[in-house]
Amino acid sequence: MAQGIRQEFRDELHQLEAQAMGGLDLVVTQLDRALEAMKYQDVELAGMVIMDDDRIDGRYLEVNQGVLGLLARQAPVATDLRVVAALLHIIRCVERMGDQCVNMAKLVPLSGFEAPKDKVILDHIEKMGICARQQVGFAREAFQSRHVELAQDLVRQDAEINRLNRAIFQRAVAVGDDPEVREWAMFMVLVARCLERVGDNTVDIAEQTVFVVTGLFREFTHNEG
Amino acid sequence: MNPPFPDPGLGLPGPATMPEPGPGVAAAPRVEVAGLRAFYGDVEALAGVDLEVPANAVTALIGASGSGKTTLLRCINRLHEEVPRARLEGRVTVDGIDVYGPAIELPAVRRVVGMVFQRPTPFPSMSVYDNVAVGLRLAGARGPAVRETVVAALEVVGLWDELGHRLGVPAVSLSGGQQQRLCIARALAPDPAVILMDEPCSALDPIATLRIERLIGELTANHTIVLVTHNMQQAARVADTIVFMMDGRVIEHSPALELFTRPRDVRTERYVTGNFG
Repeated sequence: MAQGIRQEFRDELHQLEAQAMGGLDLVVTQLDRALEAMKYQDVELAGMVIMDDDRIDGRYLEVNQGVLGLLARQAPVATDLRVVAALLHIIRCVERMGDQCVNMAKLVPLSGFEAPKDKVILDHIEKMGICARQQVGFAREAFQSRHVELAQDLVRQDAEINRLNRAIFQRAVAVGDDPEVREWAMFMVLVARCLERVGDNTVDIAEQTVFVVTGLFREFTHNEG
Repeated sequence: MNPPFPDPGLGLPGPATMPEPGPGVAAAPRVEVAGLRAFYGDVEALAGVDLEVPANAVTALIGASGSGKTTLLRCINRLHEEVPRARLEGRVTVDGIDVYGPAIELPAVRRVVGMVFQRPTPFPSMSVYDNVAVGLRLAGARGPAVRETVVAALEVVGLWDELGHRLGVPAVSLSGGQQQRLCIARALAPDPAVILMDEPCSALDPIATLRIERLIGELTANHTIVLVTHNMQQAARVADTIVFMMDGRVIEHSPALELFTRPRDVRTERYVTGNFG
């Protein structure tokens, strides 16, 4: 049997993987803009984030339909089958992370143009944003290079996002008596929740990486971090 | 007795040591192959095969052409020895009985180990009925038992409803799918414990193929099936375990789902993904 007898299939699979990974790049862009809009109360930029979610949704449809077509026409097996199944899962994560960026962007006008701010909460949100962005990048790199250790390390990284999320909640509870500050803090709790969910989605992608490499699906626990 | 076949009353004088399906006997034996080497002249087609075929299950043999699948199949029911200059070494047992044992006679082996070939091979000069009955008659069966067995076999393969009112028509007048099911009925008539199938659907259309595949699944209630197929989707659909062969050797023998999702051997992975160098 000649090498690359299913070259057309292989090309299609690589193309689909590239599209899914490109979806993660779109998420990073949306995340950056949503965080910037939040930081500078930039309602216009927030509006762009909301509009541009269509691109991520479109990417989801492309990969989803590509995967279905590949399953129907090529009947992939073994590692190929695991990659195809993982891509279906990953593109779903991409779409959800895009939605979280939209959720954050929608909170920008609600949180007020000159909102009273709490520096501790703002610092934590900024750190969470940096962590979430890094995790999306690492999730992409781990999957693309089939790097099991890098994938497993995402659990450890995600623990930091979770810690910051809890810290923001506690700070919001104790932020003071000013109703405006408390309202603003409640919005920040929602933003933190969005970032925490982005982190969880990167861990899901990491789990898919390990599944593709080992053939065994195992949900990561934070004890592993 | 393997229901639903009534006892054909073969009354063969076959060796008592060959396992006869009957009361008190396990419904289907397991086939065991140990150290099997098969040759065509100087060419070694099987290079030391060890294999255990589980009872009442479908075991599919997959692998590239020339990997030894069909030779292995033909060694199990002693068809290999009928090829000029062919020989073999090693051991093939059915329920622990060596089919190449000195006391074992060929008809007894063929009665316990039936075979279905790649293309439908009905006897062209015979009717539908006679195609199924011929093996029974050659084995000495007579009377109502023959008809009962023929009807039961045709019912199992789904031909009774289609052809029950015209069993006298020539077998060659049937469609390809019907002919293949007729051949399966012919193989079933002596109530074999093991049925070997060598690409039984390769000449059939998708509908006929699905009927045969469904039939294969149903047959495992009373028979052990060994299936050679080049169609990996078919192997995935019908087989319980899959044997991947290469260069006359068994490379991997795994549950079907495992082999197609997480093969253990890199050679299996390369073959099933079409990435074989």
